[in-house]
Amino acid sequence: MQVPSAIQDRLLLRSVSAGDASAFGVLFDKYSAKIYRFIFFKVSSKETAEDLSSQCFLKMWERIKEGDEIKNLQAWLYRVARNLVIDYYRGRDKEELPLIYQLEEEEYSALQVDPDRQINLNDLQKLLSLLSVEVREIVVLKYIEGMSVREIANVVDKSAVNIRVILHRAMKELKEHVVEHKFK
Amino acid sequence: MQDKLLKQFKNLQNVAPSSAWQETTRNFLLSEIKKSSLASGVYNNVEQSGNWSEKMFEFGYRLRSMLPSPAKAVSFMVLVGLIGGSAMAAQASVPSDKMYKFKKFYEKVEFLTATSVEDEASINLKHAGKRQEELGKLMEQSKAQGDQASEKIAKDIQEVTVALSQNVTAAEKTLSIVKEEKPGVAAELAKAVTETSQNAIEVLNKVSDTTNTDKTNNLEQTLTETKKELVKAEDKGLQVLVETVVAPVDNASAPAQTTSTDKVESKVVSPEELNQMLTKKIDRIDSEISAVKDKINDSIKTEIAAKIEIPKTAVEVAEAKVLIDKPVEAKKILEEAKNSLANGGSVVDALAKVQQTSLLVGQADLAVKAAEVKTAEKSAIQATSTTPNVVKPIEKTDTSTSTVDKILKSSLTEGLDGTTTLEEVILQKTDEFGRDLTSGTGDSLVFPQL
Repeated sequence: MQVPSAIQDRLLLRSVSAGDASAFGVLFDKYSAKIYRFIFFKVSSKETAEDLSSQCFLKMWERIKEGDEIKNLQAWLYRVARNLVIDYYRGRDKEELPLIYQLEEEEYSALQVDPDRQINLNDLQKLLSLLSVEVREIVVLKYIEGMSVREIANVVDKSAVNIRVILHRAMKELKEHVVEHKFK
Repeated sequence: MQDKLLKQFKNLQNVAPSSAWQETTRNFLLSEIKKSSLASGVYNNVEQSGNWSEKMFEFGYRLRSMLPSPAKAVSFMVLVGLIGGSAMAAQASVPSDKMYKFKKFYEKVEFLTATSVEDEASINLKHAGKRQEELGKLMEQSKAQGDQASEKIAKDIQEVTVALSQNVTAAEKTLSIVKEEKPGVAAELAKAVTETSQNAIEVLNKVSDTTNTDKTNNLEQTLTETKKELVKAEDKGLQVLVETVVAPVDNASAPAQTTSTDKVESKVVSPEELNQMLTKKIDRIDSEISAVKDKINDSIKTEIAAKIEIPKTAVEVAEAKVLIDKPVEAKKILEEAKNSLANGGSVVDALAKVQQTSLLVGQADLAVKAAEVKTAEKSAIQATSTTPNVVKPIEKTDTSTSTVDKILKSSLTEGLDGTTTLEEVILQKTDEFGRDLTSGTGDSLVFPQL
């Protein structure tokens, strides 16, 4: 029988707080790429995403070191990542804006996608960036990270019904974008 | 297209940090942990504990240590029994009861058992049913206390009404999603949403009739807003039912044979049930039309009559037109819908007409309320004003003025009966007496006392 992911995390966290560095390593391996992706789709800069991801795990260690309990590690990490991105943009000038603002007009007009064919990662990212930041993060968590609606609700502090409605609208919006940028 | 696109999104999982960053960060963090562990004297030998089987043993040991002892297990079962018993006992509670929080908590726990979107919607509808029961109990309490009904009961009613609105709205929103994503179960959910909304509207109407809404300022507003939400949910439910049950059958058969009785072949809802739901809505709208008409008549005959001036501006003419015309128009369309259903006409058409009627009644009701507010404001200004009315009525010295009054009186009654509109009356009067009543510059007339 497979131990549920949340229970695994709690056992590992308990080991970390007992000084087991390898348990922290297991948790880092499990979540580092996920947190990096979550941040990357928000900031669109590889370096910034790596930097903020490092800070996220450092905060995790600091919290464990202080003896504070983390009840749901996955939700906690995503929440910390969200806040780090918010703080990052607060402290930045206007020129450093998310991908959606950085993309040039021509890049969008050049964007051509066809869901029946393999879309390259770059075009998928561009398509994703057409969604608003709030909607995009929910789409990332649902369709890229495969989280359940309830888990997402826990991360973004919204009700499950709200999340479903947002996802439903996001799908409609994406369909429209696909039609607009369909490969001709 | 949606599924293909979503599958492609999965490919974005390939977006990953560089292995160099991962390695560096990992090593840095692990060294920090080791340093801290050594400094604080906590040193765990798991990492040095050797091979894989030992690590698994360690893991198993820790897992076992988390398992409860027999005493803990028995205590847990007793606790579960207590919780279950309390949950049962809390079912009859209302907001001011101590057990009510427990009831709400138990309801939240219920959502954890939901395995699908439609399950959640069903739980929301089940909770909406409980809110209706609570409203029934609160109404009884209110009746028992009569005029002494406490402010607390009014606040409880308000709280339950808001919760009822949230439950039904959540189910209605889910219905939109289910309709597109799981059409197979949409009809069943639509039926449940429609029935719950209709029952809830009936309960709220009873609450409006029996409760003193003056006890809290916002109760009346909350009731009105909740009714609007419920009507919206009812409309959505009926719409989905017709689209998923009747419309496909309609499309399958010849377009000319669109009757209400021979189209509905769904196991979810029988033709009689669908007709019953539509008839229920029609009857309710019918009584709403009568209520609006009564309000207009009452206002004109009693309070407003002496104070409202004949509309002068185009806007006022339009407002007055809404006031008189909408209920008449609504009644007419509603009769068409009734006849259509009774004679086995298209259910789709009947629903469209009912929805149109509902809209008209809503507009008329708003117009009546606006007129009442205006009148109240004017009365207040007149009561506080130290100077006589600025706009003086035309002196009724000559016979022609009394003729104006007489014609207006009869025309207004005609307007209410649906034969002439107020605008037509006004325009007719303008021509007849050569006075431009819609320009806002002429003398104003006072409505005759009916």
